[in-house]
Amino acid sequence: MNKTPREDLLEDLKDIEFAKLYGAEDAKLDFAITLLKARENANLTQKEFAAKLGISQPYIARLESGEANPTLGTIGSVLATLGLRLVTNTASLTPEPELPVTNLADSAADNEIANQVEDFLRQDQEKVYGNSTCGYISQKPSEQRHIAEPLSAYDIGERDIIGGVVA
Amino acid sequence: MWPVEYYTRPDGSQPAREWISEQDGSIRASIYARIETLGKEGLILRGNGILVSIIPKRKKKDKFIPGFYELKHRGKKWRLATYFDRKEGRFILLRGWRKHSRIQIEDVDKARELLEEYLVTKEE
Repeated sequence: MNKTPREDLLEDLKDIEFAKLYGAEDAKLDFAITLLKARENANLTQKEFAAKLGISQPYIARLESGEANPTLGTIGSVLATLGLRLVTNTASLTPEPELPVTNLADSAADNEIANQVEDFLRQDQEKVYGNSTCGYISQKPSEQRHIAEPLSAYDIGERDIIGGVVA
Repeated sequence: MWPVEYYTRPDGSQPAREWISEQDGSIRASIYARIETLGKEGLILRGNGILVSIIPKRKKKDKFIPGFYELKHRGKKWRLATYFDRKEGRFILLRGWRKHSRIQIEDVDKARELLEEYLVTKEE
């Protein structure tokens, strides 16, 4: 029987040094997803949000991809700009997964998710080909209002991103 | 929840799993954290640069494949080619690599070959 990534992770987590590294990554990603959702709920682009905060857009991008390591104070400042506050709590490092999304094509219960998936995949295609076959769309990821996916076409590679800091 | 699995080749090998197991603890931790988040959040990760469409660089030769993504960490410079099987509602981890140059056509080509193999094997 083949192992799943989760089973491999659980095995690795028995090593406390690995668990510490994993915990740090997990916390950054957890905040990243929270921030992404909060910003989108506020209907702000990364650029607009950065301007509101007085920090650079690349730093917002790093926060939302879980690559920045903000202080608790920075997190508080960022959330306050959206009228939110940080709520801390603890939970199991590896909670039991929820029921999986099953066969999207067959399950009526998953219809909404299936539609969302089709929308996402169509958006991907439009980003590459436009609405016809005339090349890339012109809108930069940082200016997209909802799904601000950086495409490889805009990918700036591995250059260092100089992020701003919330005072 | 979005199931995430390693792709298993017809010969039983699992390129993504083998690559992950070769990485040091810090890289492996960041890979597993992203895989776990992918399992929790699914395609929403398209919104923050963690899950990025693989766009053909040679448009005449290669077609854009919806659902063909790379899970990535810019700072740690790794990429993990992933396919979202829309019919099964699951992510298939194809293969990973460390990014050493801006363009990684060879690595992407290998991932594309694995994806084609997956799709053919699935049909049979």
